[in-house]
Amino acid sequence: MIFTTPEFVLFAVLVFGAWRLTRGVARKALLLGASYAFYASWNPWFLGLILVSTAIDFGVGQALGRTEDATRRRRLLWLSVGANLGILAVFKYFDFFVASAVAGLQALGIEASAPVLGVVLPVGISFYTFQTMSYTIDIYRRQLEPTPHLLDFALFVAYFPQLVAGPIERARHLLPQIAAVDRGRFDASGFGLIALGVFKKAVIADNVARLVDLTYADPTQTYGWALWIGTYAFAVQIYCDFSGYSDIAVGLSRLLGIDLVQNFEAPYASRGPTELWRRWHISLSTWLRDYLYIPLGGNRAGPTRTQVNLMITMLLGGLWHGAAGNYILWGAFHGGLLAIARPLRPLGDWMDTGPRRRILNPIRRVLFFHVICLGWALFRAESLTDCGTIVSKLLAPEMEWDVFWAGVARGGDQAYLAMVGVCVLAVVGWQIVCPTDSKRITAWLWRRPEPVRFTVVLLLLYAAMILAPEQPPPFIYFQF
Amino acid sequence: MKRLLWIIPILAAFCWLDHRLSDGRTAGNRRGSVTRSLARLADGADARILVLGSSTTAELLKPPVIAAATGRTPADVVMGQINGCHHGCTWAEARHLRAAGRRFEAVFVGVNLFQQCEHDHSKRVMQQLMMTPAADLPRLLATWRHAEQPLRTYGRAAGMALSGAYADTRVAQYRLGAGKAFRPPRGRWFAPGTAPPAPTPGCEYGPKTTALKAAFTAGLLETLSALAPRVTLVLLPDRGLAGGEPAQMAQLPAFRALIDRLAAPHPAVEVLDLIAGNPITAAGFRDGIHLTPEAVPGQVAFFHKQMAMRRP
Repeated sequence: MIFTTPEFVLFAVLVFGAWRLTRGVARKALLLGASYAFYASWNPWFLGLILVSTAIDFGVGQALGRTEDATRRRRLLWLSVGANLGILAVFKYFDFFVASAVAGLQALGIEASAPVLGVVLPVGISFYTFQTMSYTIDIYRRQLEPTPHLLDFALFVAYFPQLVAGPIERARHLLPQIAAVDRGRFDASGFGLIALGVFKKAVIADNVARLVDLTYADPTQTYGWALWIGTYAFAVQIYCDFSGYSDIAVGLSRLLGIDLVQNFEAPYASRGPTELWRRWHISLSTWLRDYLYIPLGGNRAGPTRTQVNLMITMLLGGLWHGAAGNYILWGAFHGGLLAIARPLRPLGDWMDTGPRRRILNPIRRVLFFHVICLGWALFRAESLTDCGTIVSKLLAPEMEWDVFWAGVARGGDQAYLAMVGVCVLAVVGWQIVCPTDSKRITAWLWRRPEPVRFTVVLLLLYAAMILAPEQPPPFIYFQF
Repeated sequence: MKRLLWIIPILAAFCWLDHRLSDGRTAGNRRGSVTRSLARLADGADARILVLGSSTTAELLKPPVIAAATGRTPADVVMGQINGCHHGCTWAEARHLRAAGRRFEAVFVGVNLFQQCEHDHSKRVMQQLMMTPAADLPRLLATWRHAEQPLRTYGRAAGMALSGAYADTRVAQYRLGAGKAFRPPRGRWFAPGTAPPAPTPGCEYGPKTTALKAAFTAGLLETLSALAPRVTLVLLPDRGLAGGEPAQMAQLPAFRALIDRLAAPHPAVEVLDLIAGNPITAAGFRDGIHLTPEAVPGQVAFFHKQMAMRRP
């Protein structure tokens, strides 16, 4: 069930109504049942995996809480990490690694073939496996006590607003709220977030997606400047799609009295790569920092080792997004940016001080936005070969402008292209000039009088009803 | 609670805006196609022969063509065709006619291979709701159970009940000055050359993909058998079948088998195959399913030939 579909609205209304009528264990059981039903709506077989992950990590958590033996604790941790990564390896990466190995051997002139599993990728698997691993790792690090309640833990794993596309929650933040679910108060500002998220996804992301699909369908044919137009549009699409989903997830949770972490903070206001990863997909970047980068040594083992750790973290971050070479390349791109940015930090600090800051900030943001776009081009490409074609065209763009204008006129696409331009200026320009994101916008709205709040929320939802495409694409991050 | 009272005048304002935008729930090209067809049916109250289907039916099975094949005059033939009307829409139209007490000597229904797959689209819900008589609504709701995502269908119906300007009708795109801003881009401005031809609409025949349409087709044939003593299902060609596209050809046996199975219980229903032995080539189609003007005369001749060969 996609959040912006009528069936999800029906589901959410029913769940919310039942939530209001229940208390205590019944309320938790209701949310858990609803979460399983939500997940099973994609494919009932997927439920088996989430149940396995839940059982293993609950058991490991309990066992870790009962033993002080260092060797046993380490083995229990590896059981949890191994099981979760094993599930990911089989369902997400097996076919990719096999195909890559076969291609590599063939490139060396060795005839090879291997069976592929051809399994369907379970929705949200990358999100909930990371979430459950954080639970056992935190217990191992003695940063968290294991919960004795299986119901609470199962709900932590499967909680439907954030199950399939995050935010990736930490047990320290979500479990206590689940345990005290009766104390959670209905927060009506959740409607504001939901309306904003629906508008971002249904009106902006889904409408600009058509242009992205056209320009990226066959990059060998597409003009370079058209690819820039498509890439700007993709930057808007992926931000509005993913942050829109997060807004809806956070908003739904507020209605249920649960607070989820913020996943975006005006990412296109970033002036450099370090700042970008504090603003984009915050729950994943902090997860990678805490459970991969820091255990690798972080920045504590000298500059060279720091660069290596950054590159490993970002490569695996890219791989997390998908079993395809372009995602790894995207991760390497951002790893390279972070590695380059570290020694340039004194320059960044200089630009960030005094009156020059106000002049330089927007310039830095505009320039870095274009660097981000080069990364998005790799992310959106459909193959490694396309990556090379697209990047070379973006770096040396060309266009037959008479063909462009004639094509626009023939198709009557002036208004559509203007709409895309307005979306790019509004979404990106707003963040460059005034870095605010959904949480603050909603907080501002909720300080207005009630008639204003109701009107804006209903206007956003009505606009989504009448301006959304008839065949909307799914959320981008559902495929991860 | 007093604070919530604010929502009443705000909702009232939205209802007014929606009413204006949708022109009293009459605006939109897709609504227009349904209402124009119903108007033609009302005007043709004395018609003896009924033609139903979508645009692929209308371009070939025109009243003069049917009249020539059946020995009637064009005035005896009424066109109940609706753009984008698949079998759920045709069933609703047939139920509408039956509830109005209409009877015909014969009914012709054009059918394409791809139409038996669900091809989920919100306009289908709108078409079905517009024409289904109130007494048949429970049956319509029950049939929607067979959809691949039944809750989506029910949800769309709820959306239509709430708003006349709901996306299904494309009202915003046709009425608002900025409506074209949300229409899919059509021009080829991003690359040189001409766009590759669009793929022929197809259908992967299987129990889940065809369940909804099979349920509607069964109901349609039952209703049409009550409307007329002779019902002809005309199997229409497409570019994929004419050009021997492997993917399309692979579905042809399943298509024929499904149609034959659904038609078998109804003695009044016969199948007229315009696919097998059709001389048309892929070049005779201007897109995957619609004929070029040059191809129409040849198809009319083929239709007449097949009609002459059927049982008297």
